[in-house]
Amino acid sequence: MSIIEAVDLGKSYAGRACLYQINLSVPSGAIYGVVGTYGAGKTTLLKLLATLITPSTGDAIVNGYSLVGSPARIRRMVGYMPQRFGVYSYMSVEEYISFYADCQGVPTSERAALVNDLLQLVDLGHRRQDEVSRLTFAMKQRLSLARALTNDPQLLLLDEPFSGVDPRSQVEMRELIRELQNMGKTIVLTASASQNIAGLCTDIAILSRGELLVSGNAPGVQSLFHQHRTIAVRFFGNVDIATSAIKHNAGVQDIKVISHGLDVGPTSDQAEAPLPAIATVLKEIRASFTGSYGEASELLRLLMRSGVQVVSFNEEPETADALLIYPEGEADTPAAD
Amino acid sequence: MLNTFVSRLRVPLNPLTLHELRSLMRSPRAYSYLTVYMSIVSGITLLIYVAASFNGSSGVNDSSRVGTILFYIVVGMQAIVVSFLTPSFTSGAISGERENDTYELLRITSITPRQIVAAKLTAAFGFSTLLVFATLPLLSLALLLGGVELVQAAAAIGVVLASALFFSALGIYISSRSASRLSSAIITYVVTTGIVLGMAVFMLVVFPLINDIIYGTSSLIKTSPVLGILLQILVFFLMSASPISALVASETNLQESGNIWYITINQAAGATPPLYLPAPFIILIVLYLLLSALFLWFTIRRLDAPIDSL
Repeated sequence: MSIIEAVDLGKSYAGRACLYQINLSVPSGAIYGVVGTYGAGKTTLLKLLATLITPSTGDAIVNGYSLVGSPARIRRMVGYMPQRFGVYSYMSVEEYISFYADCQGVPTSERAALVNDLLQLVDLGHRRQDEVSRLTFAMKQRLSLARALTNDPQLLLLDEPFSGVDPRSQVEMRELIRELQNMGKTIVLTASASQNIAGLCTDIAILSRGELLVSGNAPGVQSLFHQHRTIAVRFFGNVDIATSAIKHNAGVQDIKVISHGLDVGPTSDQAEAPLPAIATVLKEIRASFTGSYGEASELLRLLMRSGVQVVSFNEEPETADALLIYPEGEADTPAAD
Repeated sequence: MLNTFVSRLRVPLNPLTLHELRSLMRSPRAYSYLTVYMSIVSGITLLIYVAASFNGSSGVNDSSRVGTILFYIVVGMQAIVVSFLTPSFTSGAISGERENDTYELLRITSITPRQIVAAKLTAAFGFSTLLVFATLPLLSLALLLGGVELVQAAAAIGVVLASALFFSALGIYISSRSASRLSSAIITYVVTTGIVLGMAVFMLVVFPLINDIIYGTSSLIKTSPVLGILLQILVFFLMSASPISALVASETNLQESGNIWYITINQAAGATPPLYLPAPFIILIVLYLLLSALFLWFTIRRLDAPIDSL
């Protein structure tokens, strides 16, 4: 069951589109990662879903309510953590959460317990009396997350939760997000690099220049990137024999030979003027590969049968980031959901 | 503590109002303003009192003269301080929230635009009211010394409070339309100066000229009495638009006619019966209340719109 169903959702500012009619579906209980470079439209998408801005085209149904028709109802079930942290002067950590809980209509009798629980959840209980302005950036991020939870939302929208924080804080944030998922919340988060959300998100959407390139469950999206991966083989033996063994295999492209860290040139040249085979020198072949796992296994079998002594056979999958940096039109992108 | 106090009073204050009041009273700015303002008003009062004592004023007439001067100074200071201090609290009301990145966070909560505006207005108007009430002991001294009637003092306080409300509403409205706190402050102060001082100076210059046109030898009015009446009403309303000129005109009218509630305008050469108009302070209070409601309504409408259209 989907908690968000966006249909032709788009946003333009002064006639300039920054989000083109996107269609996506966010399953309930998912950790949905939206990946894209700066200006891809990630924040715009989150602001649309948070009802802070109105769509120029299309609509989205959030938990049964229309973004256009019932923004107030959606607002009550959404928690939004913006990229930039807003704070009032003279407010302590405790006051900050209490103030927003009050703004969300949490009764006075329940507020103290809620503040306590939320500060414990984000591990800021020991800093409750400190002024918010004195917290580190990572702590502010966690406090901002606690603030977004004051209305016990079903849907959490987190804008760049890993941006600008150190690796340890990133790990803590990931753990926190997983914990929130276990509490039954659906989380939509944005990231500018896919490595931040690798292994965390159950679903991924990739935005580029306001367009949705691909979306779907994480393994599915990852498998698309497996179509653009590199096979790296290190071996002892004759380079020509090794390249001949694999170059006619379907899915193998752009073979490069590296010897002692040196690129010895394209394989076609080598075929005309073979390099002397020096069995004691470790060599490496790197080839772009778009075949299946079975075909990769066949490559290894062919290499072994050719007589070269294979030391390692590695597959290096490309990440979503590679797709993001392809120039427009060059990316071999599958159709969006 | 403030929460407990409010809950006991059962005052329907929204959380943002409580926050605004708390922030205001926690900031050194509020105390600095109050201290400087009270020091100046008290210092001037003391100087007048000492000067009157050295001049050997002891009779009832002298006492009432001192009381009247004291009244003018306290009310004048109240009008100027309230008009010019209020914008410093309201100019960042909405634009400041945007600059601090807190506006989005507020809009995602259950707080409505109406509550946001109410909170900002309560804080700014509340502080202005505090300034007015802080000088009430000095005003009561003027009443004790004589020369000033209670209704006069009440009218003056009415003008000052209406001005505080109007300049608060104006500042909040300009703040809702400005991109930054700085631009909002500049625009608010330019408009406020124009209304408070510009209008008063303009009326001082223009009023004798208009009087000459109406009561003098101008052929324009002789051929068109209706135009003369319209001109007088226009001048009168413009005069009532500034707290300073409204207070001066109301006081002058009181001294000349002995009536505080209305003003009588005699037409040129007795061609038409006299024209009765409410006293300038009444016009100002009504005008400022209406304009305040209008500005607040416009602000709420503006905040009701999605953030991207602001």
